Amino acid sequence: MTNTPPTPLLEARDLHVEVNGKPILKGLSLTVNAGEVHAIMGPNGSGKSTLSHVVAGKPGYTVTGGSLLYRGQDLQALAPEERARAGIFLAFQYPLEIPGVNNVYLLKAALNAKRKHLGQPEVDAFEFLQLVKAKMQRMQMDEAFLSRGVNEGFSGGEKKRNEVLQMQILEPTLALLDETDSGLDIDALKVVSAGVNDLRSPDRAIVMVTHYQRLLDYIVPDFVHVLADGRILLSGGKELALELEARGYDWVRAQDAA
Amino acid sequence: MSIDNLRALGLPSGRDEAWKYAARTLSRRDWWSAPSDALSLPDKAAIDAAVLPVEAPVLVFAGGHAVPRALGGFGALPAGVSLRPLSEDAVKAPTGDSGEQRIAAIAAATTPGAWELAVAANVDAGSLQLLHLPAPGTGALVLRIRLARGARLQLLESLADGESALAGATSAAGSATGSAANSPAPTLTRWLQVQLADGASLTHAIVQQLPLDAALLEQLDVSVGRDATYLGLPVSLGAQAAHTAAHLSLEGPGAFGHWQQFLRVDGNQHTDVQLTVTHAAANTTSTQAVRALAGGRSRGAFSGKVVMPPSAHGADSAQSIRNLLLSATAELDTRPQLEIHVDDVKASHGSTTGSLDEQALFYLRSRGIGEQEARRLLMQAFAADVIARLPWPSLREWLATRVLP
Repeated sequence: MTNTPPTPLLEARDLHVEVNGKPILKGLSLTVNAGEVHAIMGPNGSGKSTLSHVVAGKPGYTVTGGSLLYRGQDLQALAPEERARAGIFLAFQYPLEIPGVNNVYLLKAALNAKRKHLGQPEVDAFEFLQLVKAKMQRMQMDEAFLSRGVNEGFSGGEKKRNEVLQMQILEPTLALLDETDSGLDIDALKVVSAGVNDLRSPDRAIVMVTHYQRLLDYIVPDFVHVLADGRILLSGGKELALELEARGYDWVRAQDAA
Repeated sequence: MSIDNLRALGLPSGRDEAWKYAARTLSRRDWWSAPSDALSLPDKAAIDAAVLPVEAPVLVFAGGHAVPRALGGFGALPAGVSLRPLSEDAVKAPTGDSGEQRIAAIAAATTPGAWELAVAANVDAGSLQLLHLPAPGTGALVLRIRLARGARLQLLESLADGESALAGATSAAGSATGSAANSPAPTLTRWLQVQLADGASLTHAIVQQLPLDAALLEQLDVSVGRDATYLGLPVSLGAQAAHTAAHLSLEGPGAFGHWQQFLRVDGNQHTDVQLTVTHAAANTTSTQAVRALAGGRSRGAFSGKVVMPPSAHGADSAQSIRNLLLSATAELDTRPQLEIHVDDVKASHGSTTGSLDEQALFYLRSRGIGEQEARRLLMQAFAADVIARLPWPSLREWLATRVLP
């Protein structure tokens, strides 16, 4: 009997992506397995956000070469909503304010869309509200949130908490966090990190895109990758983040060029 | 002016400022035939089908005729509220040939009879629904709404689609082979005069869902007294062509005038609204908010003119117009105008035109919401801005999905 390795949750091979005709990712390769937490670091403009957006299916992001697989399936064939129902979640760097669409309504519609995809019945309204309230407490969010529009009038920190709250409710298989730490003070960072750490599990993977090492003190990654010029130039363990913090990114580029 | 004179004049052309954005198809309609004297009665089922879901007494008009209580037209009026016919002299129809007053002139010349709805001083009359059922052919309504000092009313006018009413009316007229399909497309002329005495308050919702082959000419002349409040809440959904001229005059110091409109056009519909708010007295306040949604090859237009004469000291006006285009062939025109002849006033206006926010759409889809559903949610949210002002939760809920194309 041979032990075949499990199919990775996310596998990018020599991935090329254009945004509005401009090449951003230029041969990126990355493998993420269930149970792993990855941090993608890199200078501004390196393509970090592009990676998370192309995995989530943002319109306008075109794969021009290579492959992008989720559980062995080509993601390009799936609409953003189909990816979400299949377990991909993107926590936005700048969550949208959508006045007139209620927060809880969105949460419930999102959860029911996923349950329907899985052949499960709709969630019970009462149980759902209890669940939301419990998770809100965990994320230290105000009850007033229940009656408001999506992110309407939220501060930057509240929006990030809301992203993680949605993640806690939807329990994704692959969670992508796009600069979730930006704009957070230290207390909010702790709350948000605790919310993310709740989700660590052997059958789930988390990919964090971040500019700063600080986040990784709270959500400790198994792997750290340096993304620059549209490619992963270097991968290592959590200690790589500390080295990047101390030395910057230029040495990685120099080493890659050599 | 006589019907013959009006017919000879025709409708004003687009060169007339007040008719600049009006649908040209309006001039091809027959506005001049007097409605039949015989009231073709809608049946009970047609009325029940057309009544909007609001807890309120209902008064029924069919093609401009008031349907008598004895014939199931309306229930008991609240205490302090009266409905009575107005004599021709009392109507005070405009006599000149001005384009601004043309609709009033046509309505006065062709109506089967004018009415006055009055609320006595200091009476809070609660809610009342006026249900207007279209009749085949030409209809004309002249209605004066008069609130005495300190009176309050929440009035919901429903201009019903009334498909069943049209069919019902035809069969009531005894035509065995007739059907709504081969009766002439309805035209309706409405002239409403609203007079609010000092301290009175009128919430005036108009839900217009006329059949898609209907045409509508509508003139509202609103006069608001000292410390009185007019809140106009038109929701315009139906008719092939509709032209509304609204004149809101803040006559008494401290008067409030608000116009919060939702307008949706689709297919080949063409709706335009000409609103003029005159701050005739000091310390008067007005707001105008319009949310317009256009799909297909439709056209919509809103002209909002705010006039502040020298008497308008301390007046305050704010205008917010947002247009949402759902197709490349739809058109929405917006024309804000300010005419200010005094210094110590505030007047702001803002207007945007765009399509559905792609970022918001992606955000919803990234949460598992299907594309069509996400579009629906964003359109509903857009409409909710003004729909939320309707004071009846049951009606807001009823409209939530019906405002979408």
